Amino acid sequence: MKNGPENQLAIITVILLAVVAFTFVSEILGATLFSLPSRPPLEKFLWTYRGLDVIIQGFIVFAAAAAVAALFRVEKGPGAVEEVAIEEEPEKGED
Amino acid sequence: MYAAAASAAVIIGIYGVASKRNMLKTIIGIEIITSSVGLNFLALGSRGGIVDPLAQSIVVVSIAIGACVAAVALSIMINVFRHYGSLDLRKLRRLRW
Amino acid sequence: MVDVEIPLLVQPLVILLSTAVLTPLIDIVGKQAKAEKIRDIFAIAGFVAAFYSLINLHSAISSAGPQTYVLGTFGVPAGGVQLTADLLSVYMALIFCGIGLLVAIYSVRYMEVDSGLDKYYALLLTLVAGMIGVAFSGDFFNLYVFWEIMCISSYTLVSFRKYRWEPVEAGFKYLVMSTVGSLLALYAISLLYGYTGTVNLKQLSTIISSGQISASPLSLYFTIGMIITGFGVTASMVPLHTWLPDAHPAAPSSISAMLSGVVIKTGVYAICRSLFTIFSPASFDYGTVLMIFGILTMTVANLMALMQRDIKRLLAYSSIVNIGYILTGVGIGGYALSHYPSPKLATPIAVFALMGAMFHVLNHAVGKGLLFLCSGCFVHEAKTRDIPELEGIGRKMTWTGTSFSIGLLALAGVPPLSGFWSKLFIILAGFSIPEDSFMKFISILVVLNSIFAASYYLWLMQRIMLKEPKPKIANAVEAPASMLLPIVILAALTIVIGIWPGAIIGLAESAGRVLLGG
Repeated sequence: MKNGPENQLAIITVILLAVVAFTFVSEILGATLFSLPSRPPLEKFLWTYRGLDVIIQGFIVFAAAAAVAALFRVEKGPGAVEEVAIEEEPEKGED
Repeated sequence: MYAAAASAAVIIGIYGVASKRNMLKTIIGIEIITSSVGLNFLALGSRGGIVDPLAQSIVVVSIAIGACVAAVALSIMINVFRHYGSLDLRKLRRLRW
Repeated sequence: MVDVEIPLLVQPLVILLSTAVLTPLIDIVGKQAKAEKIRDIFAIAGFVAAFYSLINLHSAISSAGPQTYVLGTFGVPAGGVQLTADLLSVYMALIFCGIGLLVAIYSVRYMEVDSGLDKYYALLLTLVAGMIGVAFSGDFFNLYVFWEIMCISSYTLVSFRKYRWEPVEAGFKYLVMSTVGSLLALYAISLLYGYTGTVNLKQLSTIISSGQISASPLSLYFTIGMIITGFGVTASMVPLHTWLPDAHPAAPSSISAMLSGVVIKTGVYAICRSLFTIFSPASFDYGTVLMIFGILTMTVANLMALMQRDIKRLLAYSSIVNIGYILTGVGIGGYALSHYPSPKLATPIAVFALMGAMFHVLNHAVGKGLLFLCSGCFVHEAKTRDIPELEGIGRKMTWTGTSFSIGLLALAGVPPLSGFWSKLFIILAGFSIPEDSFMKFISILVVLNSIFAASYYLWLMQRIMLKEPKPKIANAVEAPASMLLPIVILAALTIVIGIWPGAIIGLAESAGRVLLGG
């Protein structure tokens, strides 16, 4: 835990979030929950009511497969050259 | 009670994403947040021992989505490693202003 | 053949997603036949077909009212998934698909030196499909699922040129920030589910407005805060915007145009749709928060934009400024409704402000898309993004340079062009209640920020168009015709909308009214 300023900032954020969450989660715990409507169990429910979500999730898997294929493709040429404008030299080595 | 634990776990996940130096730990933090939000759904949907099937189906889909996001994140991380030679998040400082 | 009738509402999604899946196969066919451009033409055809079906959908909605679609035969109980298209959804979907089509035409020549282009076009198609799905979803979790398909495609497209360090670094930062944001929004969805037992937007609004749940208003405000924060990461509101100035320059210019033009608008749309539908603006005051964050976004991004020497980074900061305008417009609408509950006073102001915000969504999408595509042409010729190196390149590439200037003038709000109208509406909506000094103060800040932004747009135009070109770019030739076609179309659209804004004002007004009436 020797990360210095990032660690301290993160701990402060977490303490603030914990205070906020404690204030509101106690609301949730005390709340009377909604009355559960009668629904079929998961297997039938998933396909009759939530079918569209599962189909779109299938396309998400396709997009993730295309993404991984694109990120691991083999480049043959130098590709496009577009120099970025940065103010200082990129640091090389240990810092 | 599970809802409180789930909310606490979301905060732990956000802490993990914000403070860890290693990129792999950042991605693990993202997965922790995904699982905790799922747990929150299930906790708020349970009555006695029975969980509302709407919450269950939401969590099933959300787990699949989380896996896809992790796959893309890990591929980008491997590409970062090929360019920078390390997984240290503090090395990704070339784009500043 | 099976006689399949695909309902009009689902047609654009089906067309785009099936084109996305078929594009890698067409690419294999094309490589065998040695005609690689087949996949580009196929993807463009997919966009054209989807755009055509969206126009049909628009005319169907205008005549018949909002369309809904439910998968399965059970109607819409509290668990069913619902796709709803009303005038706001189809307005946003037309913008998304139109910009997607123009970017696809542009990418044919711009991306030709890259490899893996079948996956590029497939991901571009899923990106637009995800955005149209977000616009059409009537169910909060369905919105999240479409949101994620959009996000995954955009993370990959930013890091597409993975052989350089910059896109990869920018893509990782974008991924981490945006995923945490989406998960915060999902957490808010889970809290709303816990209070009400449903995730359907219409049912959530009836249950919350009837007051039958046991949550205190404070916890509902917490949920509102989580929704604004979660979707605000993608909409690049100010404390959450830091991914944008790295990701937009690092992406290929066609994808920068998509990101700046339409993907960040999806964040604004999600905030508007979820807040205005679920939490009635008369009882929850989120307009103030949106206005304050809008002003903060504008001011911080304007100041940062002055310090940039990378042309695409400057345009990225100006995108953040324009999101500030849109959020301020939406905030003025919400503020008017919650602080002045009498409908005769507040509703016209809110309609006016929301109309200005929606019109600005279109103007900024067209204008920023135009600017990024032009700067892509410049960078493609000059091989650098440094403004001091690019000085005067507009003189060598006259068509591109002229369109670039038209885009800059339009976003600066110069009168006969389109940006003037939308900014005018937002500012006038803020000034419309004379005794409310907070709203007047906000509008004065909008005016000052607009003048400040105009100053650096004009500075950029002067540097690109009026200075002497350096010897390094003395050989720059005009961009090829297929890259010029989308640029000229967008520039012409800017001029046409500026001179005859009536049709678009009608569309934007009906889109804004949906948020109030629905």
